Amino acid sequence: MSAMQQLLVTPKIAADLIRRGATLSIAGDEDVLAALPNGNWIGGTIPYFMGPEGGITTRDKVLVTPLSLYPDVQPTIKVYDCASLSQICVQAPDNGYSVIILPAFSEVHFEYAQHAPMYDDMFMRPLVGWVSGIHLDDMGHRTPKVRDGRQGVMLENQAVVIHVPLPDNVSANVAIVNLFRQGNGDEITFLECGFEASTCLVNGTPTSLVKYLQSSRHDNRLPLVADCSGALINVSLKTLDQAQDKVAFYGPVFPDVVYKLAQPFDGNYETLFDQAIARLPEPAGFSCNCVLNYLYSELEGKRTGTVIGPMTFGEVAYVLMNQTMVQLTLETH
Amino acid sequence: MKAPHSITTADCLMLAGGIPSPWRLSQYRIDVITKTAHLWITRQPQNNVEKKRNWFSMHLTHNVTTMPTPQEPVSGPELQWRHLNVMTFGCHVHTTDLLDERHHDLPWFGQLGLPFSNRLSHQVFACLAEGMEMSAVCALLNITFSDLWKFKYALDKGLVKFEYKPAKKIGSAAALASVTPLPATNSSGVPDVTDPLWERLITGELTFQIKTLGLQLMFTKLRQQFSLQQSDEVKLMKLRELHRYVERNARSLADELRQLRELAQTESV
Repeated sequence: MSAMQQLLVTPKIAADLIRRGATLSIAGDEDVLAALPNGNWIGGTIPYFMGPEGGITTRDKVLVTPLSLYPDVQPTIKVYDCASLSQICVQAPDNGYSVIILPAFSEVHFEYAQHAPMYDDMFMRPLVGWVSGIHLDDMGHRTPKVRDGRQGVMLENQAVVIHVPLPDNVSANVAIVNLFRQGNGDEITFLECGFEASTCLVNGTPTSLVKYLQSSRHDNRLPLVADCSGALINVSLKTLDQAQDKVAFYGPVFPDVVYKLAQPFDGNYETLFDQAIARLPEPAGFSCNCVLNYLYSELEGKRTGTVIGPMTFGEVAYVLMNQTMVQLTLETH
Repeated sequence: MKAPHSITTADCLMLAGGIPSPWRLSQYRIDVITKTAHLWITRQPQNNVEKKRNWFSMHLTHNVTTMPTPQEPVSGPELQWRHLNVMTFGCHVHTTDLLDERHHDLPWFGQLGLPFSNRLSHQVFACLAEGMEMSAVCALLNITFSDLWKFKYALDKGLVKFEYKPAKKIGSAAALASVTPLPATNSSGVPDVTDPLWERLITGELTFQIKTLGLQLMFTKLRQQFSLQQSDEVKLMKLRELHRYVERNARSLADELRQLRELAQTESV
């Protein structure tokens, strides 16, 4: 059973928790995060949350996830740059889990997104996390950041990770809730890995992706969906540049993976989400959801079941996800 | 036979590195702080003014041995590979010669884009093929994790191939050698790594329903990598990886393990 509980609190309460020695993961606006005292925590910038009262955009509260539930095992915080990122899973505890926060649009974000599946020991040990972002009003003025709580500096191009060991009789499980399903349309593949693409193969035939999406009158809020042995993994569409004949994505597409365009929802997001999480075995100790779900499904003021957490610029369930809720639960054996 | 004292440092380095004539050492640099030896190899004619220095020179004013600056590239951009260790020192081979494909296959050079010389690559590959963890390979061969990761990335992508026969054959290699493995399970109920079940799963010949996200993603990755490989040894590595995942996460895979045990029993009948 999971004993972790995420809390949307004032900066003062978060600061009190830090001073009392709690090990935390914290999501909040940059000014608030920068002002929190040093301590055993990691954080990332974001002002969008799913709170207990529903979706909320606020610069005045932070979302806190307590991570130190077992006094006999000590979590460790590490900061990774592009050169050391590949060691994340190797340095994870034998029994435990890791939480990563990456600043959006940074080199370290792109490096992780494109190469994480190949990292040694990836998938062997539970790894969750999210991509920090900014208030959309701040676009062009501020950049997404993360903070190693032991230091006072906000970081723009490094990932912060907390490795949390667990007692032998407890294990961590990672799950996702993705409401999108592959449509019945064409098979789309790509020749190269990347955050943008001009040409793709549609049922094996080289095709301009921009033209394909336009001619099929695709709703660009619906992502590309890959079926990975039953796990449905989204790649969200960011922009269609007709002049450059390029489509930009919020996550990378990979070669040798078959994608299909998602089919539209049959209902509204929050109702379908409630139904989906009702099927989950445990309430989540850590969860995060995508800011695109927040925006596209207009979740401000609406609740998504009992699940709370930051609404992020990308979710990590081992690898980078888009438009997906990620959760981590603890199970006692 | 030459008396030991008549062998120059350059000769020693060439002998230790297994680099024969007409290749020769144009420059070398020993760094006693980082414990590295850098050898610049060329086929260009001898430069008469080339200086020779003592290896582990005892007249150092600093810990770093001051050696001649490498010459400007003669024929092409400088290439570099991590080569075998010279005792406790890591050895790097450099060249500015323009190499053709045959030269890249020489043991002391390496393939473009790979961090290791061919000889070291074979050693690394042998360790991986024997199932050693990457951290152990790094410690044993005194190589960096990032270099090993680059090497393994190229291997997993099918960009390089190596021949190696593991000491104990299992899975696909065993099948090729007409050895019939004995299906078995360990204490956690995971079918043994020698069970042909694993290869049939990874090739898609057998299917089962996976509910656990980690296994879904791991399985997808290994299937892709397996399909790209021609080498039985690399395929074996992928089977071991899959087995290791299942064994390691057995207590979270109750549903999947039940199916695997049933499949293993059905297939062994």
